[in-house]
Amino acid sequence: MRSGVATAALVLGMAGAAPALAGPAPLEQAREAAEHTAFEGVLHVRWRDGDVTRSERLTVEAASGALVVHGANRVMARPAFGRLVSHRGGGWEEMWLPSLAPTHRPDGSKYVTTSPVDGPQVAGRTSRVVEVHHEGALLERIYLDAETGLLLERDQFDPQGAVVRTLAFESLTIGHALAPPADPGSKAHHAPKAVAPDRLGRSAVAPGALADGYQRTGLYRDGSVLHVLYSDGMYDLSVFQQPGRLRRSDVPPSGERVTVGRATAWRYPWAGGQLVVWSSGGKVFTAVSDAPADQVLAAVRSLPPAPTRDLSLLGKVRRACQALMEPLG
Amino acid sequence: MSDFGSGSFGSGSFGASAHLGDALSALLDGELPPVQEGAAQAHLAGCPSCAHELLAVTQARSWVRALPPVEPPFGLFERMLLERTQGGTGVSLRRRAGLAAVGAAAAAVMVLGVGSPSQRPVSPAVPRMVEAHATGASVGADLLSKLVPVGVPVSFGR
Repeated sequence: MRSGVATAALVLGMAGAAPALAGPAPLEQAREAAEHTAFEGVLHVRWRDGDVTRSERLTVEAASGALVVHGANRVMARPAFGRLVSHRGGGWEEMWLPSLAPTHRPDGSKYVTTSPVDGPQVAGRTSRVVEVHHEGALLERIYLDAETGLLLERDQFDPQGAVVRTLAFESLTIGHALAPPADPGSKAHHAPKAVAPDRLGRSAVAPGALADGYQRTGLYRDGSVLHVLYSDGMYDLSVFQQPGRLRRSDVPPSGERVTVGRATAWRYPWAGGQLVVWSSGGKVFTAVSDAPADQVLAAVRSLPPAPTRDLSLLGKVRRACQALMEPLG
Repeated sequence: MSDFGSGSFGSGSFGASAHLGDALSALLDGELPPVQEGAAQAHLAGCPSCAHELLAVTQARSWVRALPPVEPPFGLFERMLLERTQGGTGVSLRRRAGLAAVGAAAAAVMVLGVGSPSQRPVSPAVPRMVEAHATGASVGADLLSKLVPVGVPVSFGR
């Protein structure tokens, strides 16, 4: 994290920030830079998990439009191969195909982004800093490389102004003649299939929009699991649903207990954001997002109830027995 | 009587019964919202009848789940309906009772074992879902923000 002096200087500098821009344009700049800049470096990821702050260091290399993240898992983005993941030294698995590109993302106009100002050095690079606000509250502070626009650091804050998640380069080399990441070679195929909206079953819970401006951008299926992808232009939210019910014994005990509709749900932080799991109406729902916790909960709470509500186990037995006994009565 | 019978739980969607009834099963499955679960536990502490039923349901569930899936005898339902339309003439009470017992057992096994896949316990494949989310969301977005966290395996309660 920055030194206290640098942070203080930044905050003072930002206090008189110039007119704000609508939408998270700096992240669009960062996207383009990550896809067109050759770089390699070490990233420090930290996230708050209850009272504990967890952290991991990962190396990243990018060249010729390809990017690879090296951690306990490896992740690869290549224009020709989509997205691939390798778990703990295993082979590459194709998780996402170029043909599965979501539809147009919203413009993120619900957010207010401050104009860039000079920031501190991050990993030896000169930064420009922007803040993203929503309804008057600071959500994120983003440090971009002044020369290339590459993301150098991104800090997410809770409503009390404390950092809940941060991603920051500790070392970074930009623009050298880096070789593109090696071809993945053979790979297992685990990408889902796109689903047309008119092919959804009656029991699917996949409204076109959720609370707080989240718009549906994709529908996918992988076996019995339906994946509905939403975006508000800055953050993304996936709602996975599958037939069944959730037993408490299958839920890790570390989760924070919350409610979604009438159901008990459990919320967990992960390195990239929040995860909420619950069951309702004969389905198990898992929501994954990089959005702040309150936004994720508001969005999933705006999901309509599943079209059918199954009886409890005992209720089903009773109903079945009654149905069979009636003709004999 | 505890607040269960007159509180929001008893007068809610589970019905206005003074006892837990079907909510016992939901309680065992951990499907009750926190407020209702608390009310149910309070009711159980003061209601021997519901406590006894909870014990019986727990035991019955374990017995039924231990049974192998079976198919009802071919023509069972048709014979039952035929008896109904014929007014049951010539069929002994003992046979009716036997058929009812077989039918109820078959229905229970079908409901629990094969007839209700939507109620099977499911443990979501969370790591794969996180990866599907992040990789899908990274298309058209900043690669570093979306993809770097996937390099950290998903693990809870470390």
